[in-house]
Amino acid sequence: MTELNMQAAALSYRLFYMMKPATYLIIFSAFVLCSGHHALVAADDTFYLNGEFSTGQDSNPAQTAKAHALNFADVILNAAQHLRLTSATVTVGLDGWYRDYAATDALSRLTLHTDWERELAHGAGLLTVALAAAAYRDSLVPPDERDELAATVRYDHTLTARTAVAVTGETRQLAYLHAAELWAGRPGSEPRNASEMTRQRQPATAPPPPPPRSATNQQRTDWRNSVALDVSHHWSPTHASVLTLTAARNASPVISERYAQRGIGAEMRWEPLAQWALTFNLQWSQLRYDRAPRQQERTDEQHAVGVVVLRRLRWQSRDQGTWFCRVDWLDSASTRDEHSFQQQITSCGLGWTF
Amino acid sequence: MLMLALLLATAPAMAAELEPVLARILAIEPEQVTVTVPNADAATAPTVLKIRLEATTLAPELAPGSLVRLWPSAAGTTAGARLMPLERGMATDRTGVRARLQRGVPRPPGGRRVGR
Repeated sequence: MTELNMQAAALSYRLFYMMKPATYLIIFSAFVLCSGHHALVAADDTFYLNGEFSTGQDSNPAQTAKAHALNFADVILNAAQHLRLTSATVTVGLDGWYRDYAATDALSRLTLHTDWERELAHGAGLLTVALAAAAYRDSLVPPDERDELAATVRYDHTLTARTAVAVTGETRQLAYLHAAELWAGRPGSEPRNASEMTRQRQPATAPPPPPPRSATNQQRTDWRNSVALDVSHHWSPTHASVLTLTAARNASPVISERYAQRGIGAEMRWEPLAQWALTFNLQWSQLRYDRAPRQQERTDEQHAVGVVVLRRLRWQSRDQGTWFCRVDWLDSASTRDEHSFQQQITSCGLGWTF
Repeated sequence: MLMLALLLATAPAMAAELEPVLARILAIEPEQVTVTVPNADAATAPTVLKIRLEATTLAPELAPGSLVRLWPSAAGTTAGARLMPLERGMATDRTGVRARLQRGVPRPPGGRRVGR
């Protein structure tokens, strides 16, 4: 009976913390909608619902040095209500993603977001302010489970009918559900945060219980600040490319998780036939864990390549559906060998907009 | 290199294309879409065009009021012209490629599935 009560208490605790960020955003969304009610009388609002199902194989779902491939099935649902006000558009949306791996592992992410958009410069510019709350659950690597709150500001500017730029700034709070054991930093000792310990296990086995709390454990809340610059160019109706530069810094109470990141990516889209599209993308990223004690400093370099083939499905003069297959490769080389890994994900699926 | 080679390989076809213009959707009907195209001379009223849909399709997120990229065809601006969304802001991802790529790597660099 006592154990049952403890389980019920643990479930209540989890539900409370899972709902907390969403509650903040619901209150904010209600405030936004109520404050704009006078303008909604003549508003043109639309509802958007998109669903996607795919299945495939992930060669290294836990991203460990010793890979163990797992098959998976993905289900994605996105719902958004657009409210077109007189001078702006407000969107309230809910995004759900669930990945079920073979064995007992699963990942899920639920995001509630509110976006406020306003056109500037006679329509050439678009300013977006967005707030999002997300709950990420991961039975494969439980220490990664967390709740997130994010504030994003983005400005898109269409320079010409062919070329556009976008600047994005974001601050994101990542509140991890499981306490992290802080590393004392003794010379020659190994890192002992819970995340690293869990990554050494076999991914296909049953998930272990969350790390136990102790006097040395501490709730981990990271703050990740990032900026990005996108430059897109449309070479023709069937050719487009996007160049992306990114920089980010993660501040964490766990010293070994503090890092600075910089990256560059390129994407090219090509539509060789009507309704068919090919997308190629290349990414390079460097992460410097430069705030860790000398023994734990490391630099990771990641190279990623992706290819997507998709076929749009027409329904009543609209591209309502998409059939797609994709392959993504990721090579992550670290100055500390135990953090190096490779990953390949292959999947095919169908998406539909209702 | 692969991307560059692809661009160069298809360059002759790209050179023959006409210059796109920005247009705003006024109305969407089953067989045609009405758009306005601003003139270079701001004092002149915008040009109103009716694009027939038999040769093109519309992205599901396009609605009256949307700003689009209008690609004329060799036959002109109404027959065979293509209307494409500008893909800007947080929610616009017509092909879903970016979102899928982000989801495709469950623990991306450092952030481990940071972002939505």
